[in-house]
Amino acid sequence: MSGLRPAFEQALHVFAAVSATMERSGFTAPILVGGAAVELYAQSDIATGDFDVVTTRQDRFEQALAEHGFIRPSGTGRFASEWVHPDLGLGFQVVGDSLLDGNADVGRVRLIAAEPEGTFAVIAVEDLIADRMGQYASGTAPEMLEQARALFTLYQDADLHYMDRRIREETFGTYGLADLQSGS
Amino acid sequence: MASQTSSPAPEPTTLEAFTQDVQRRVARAGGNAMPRNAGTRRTPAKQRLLAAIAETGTRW
Repeated sequence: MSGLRPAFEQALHVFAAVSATMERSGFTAPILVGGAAVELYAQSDIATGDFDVVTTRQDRFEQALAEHGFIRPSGTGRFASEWVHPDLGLGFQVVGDSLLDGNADVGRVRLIAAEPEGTFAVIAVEDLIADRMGQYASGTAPEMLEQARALFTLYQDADLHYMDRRIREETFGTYGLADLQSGS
Repeated sequence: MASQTSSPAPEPTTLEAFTQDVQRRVARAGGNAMPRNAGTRRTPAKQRLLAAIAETGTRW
């Protein structure tokens, strides 16, 4: 038993299959970010069926999605960034072409093999926490502080020096590692 | 930008090993209380996507 919700685990395998299609075509796989990444790192029931991804090649990613049966939801234009699988109830949205605006160290991205479909990439937990803190610092998502602290509680063995730097970058110097520790 | 994703991490971890590691972490922490996203900042595109997912009848 993996501990993941069955629907979420199936979605990860589909993501791996789509990623493998891109890689077979010679393109770098997309990177999972956002709430689905939080669910993966914490096995918490928070994802809502949509996977946010970052990819430098949105066109190729969308081509791969189409090959795997995904369609654009009705009412969206041909340049829309969201795709849904009508049978699986799984959606994808491309939220950017660089990881956290290019500030994250892509060398820290985790690769996870979901066989037999293939391997998918997910943002490093340090950057995920920094992203949550950045959203919290914006003042519009107070719940993100608790998400960041909950993740930090699980990953206190992460690269804390890097995490601190990234939190400061994402929050324009307002917050740092100490703001996680004070809540744990 | 191409260089940013040209050399990701070294060796992949299996999903099974990854999730077992997370399970150990959660157990060690005595569980986790992860708040869900409030959902108050959803873009129109995100709202469209979630509506389309809901239309499939899949329960998340």
